[in-house]
Amino acid sequence: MSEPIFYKSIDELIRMYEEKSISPLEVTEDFLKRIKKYNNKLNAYLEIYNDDAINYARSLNDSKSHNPLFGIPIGLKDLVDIKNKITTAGSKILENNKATKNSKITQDFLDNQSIILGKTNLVEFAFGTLGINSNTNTCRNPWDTERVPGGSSSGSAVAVSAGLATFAIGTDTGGSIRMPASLCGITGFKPSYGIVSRRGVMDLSWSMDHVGPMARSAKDCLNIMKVIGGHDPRDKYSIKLEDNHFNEEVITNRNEIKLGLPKDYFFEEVNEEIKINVMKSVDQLSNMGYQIEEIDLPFVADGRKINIAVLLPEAISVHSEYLKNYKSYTKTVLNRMIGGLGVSSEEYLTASRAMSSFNYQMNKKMNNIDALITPTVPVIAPLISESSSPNTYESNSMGRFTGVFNLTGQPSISVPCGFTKNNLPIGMMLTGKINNDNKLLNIAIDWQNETEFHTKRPILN
Amino acid sequence: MNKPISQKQVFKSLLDQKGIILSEQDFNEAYLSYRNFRKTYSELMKENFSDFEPRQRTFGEINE
Repeated sequence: MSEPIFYKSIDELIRMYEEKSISPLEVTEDFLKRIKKYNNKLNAYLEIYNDDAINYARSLNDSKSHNPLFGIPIGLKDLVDIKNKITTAGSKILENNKATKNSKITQDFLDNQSIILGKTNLVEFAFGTLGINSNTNTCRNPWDTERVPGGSSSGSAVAVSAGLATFAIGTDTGGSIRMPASLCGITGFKPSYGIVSRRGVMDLSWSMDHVGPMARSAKDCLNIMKVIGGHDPRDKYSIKLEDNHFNEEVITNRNEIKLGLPKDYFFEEVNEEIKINVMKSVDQLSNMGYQIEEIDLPFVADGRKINIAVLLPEAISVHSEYLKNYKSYTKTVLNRMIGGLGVSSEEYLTASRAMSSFNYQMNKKMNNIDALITPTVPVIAPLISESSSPNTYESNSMGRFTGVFNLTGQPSISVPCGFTKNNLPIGMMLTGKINNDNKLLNIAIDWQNETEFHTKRPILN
Repeated sequence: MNKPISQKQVFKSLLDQKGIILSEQDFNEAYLSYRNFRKTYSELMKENFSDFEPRQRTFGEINE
């Protein structure tokens, strides 16, 4: 059955534009109508650029463009600068913070004639895992609106899941693309460190921050990476991959691809339904022809701890001026931030060296492995009503698995792989070799060519 | 002899340096986070990373 416009993929929309069976204006109007209908309940968007989007889409109607993201309606996490628009970072402190320049990725989307629908909701300053922000209206999981969507890129995940954007952009410092992708039943890709420019995207932690796409398929993520992945000489941490790194490559040699299954840690203290569904997916990958090898990562339990030990002092440094206005922070984020006060230079450098030691060990293990398979998160989305304290079990454990790969900088993608008995999405995380992003994306595309989990949609009342 | 300063007092003094004043409840909640993070750093400081420089992600050929 054909999907409605608001759930069509990038390729499908581009094809329809080429066939002139629909116009960018009609598509944009469709999305804006849907946003008007559902955003009050879901709170995916903090700001909607209704007039700008309509006017721009109208101007594209007679365009004969071949840009790969032409006319595609998108949402940007409200950490991403758009010239002359406010970037709040979900914070009261920045509620009047007007950007003077486009971020690099905003410019990429404008150069490709994409249609920016608005800025999506997030955890204040991107510093949280559940998607709750008491400054903004509560962002809700479309699969069960009493449950959290995950964070910190909560609004982007909800917008994509609920058909309020074709795709959205998130950021990921400890899992903030992958966790909400998993909880909202979509595909979220954290590229290798440095592949997507962070220029014009607000920092949380320079060593751990990544920017990446959130979409309804790995194929859409690949199409987005073709546009935003690449060297930015004005971002000192931007790296250069070979030209045309991002390409769809049909996998014909599954039996030559080795997927590592690390049983310890990633399968300990994990919700039973998550474990069962991920293991079923492992079996399916094996039946598809991939080699599955159990792999021992004895050091991996330290990963999340080191991720936070490097992240915290960097976050405090980023926030040194903002903290003068500490009363304007949400209690949850302030609590997290000030818990990291007093880190000495020796401690920070030791954490940074621990990071190198950890990454060396992971590099060794990844020598003969093309990708790791793990659950994305260990817990099911908790109820919003039970998530107000900063130290709930779920908020502390949600990022246990994802944060490891912010440390290593490996490309890491969350893809849907099942549902709980209460119809909540379950995500599987595939993590590749560093700077081998294209291979990882193509494995995920292959998985989605053989499964239908990513095609399921929430029922919105 | 001076009494040793408790971890709570150290945390209070860090907040004072930043001009941050919290209610008793908020202070106690934040202190829990602080105490957990202190434990993390104290564990890391006991380990030996003498072979490694900060923030490295890629390495040359890795030989056992």
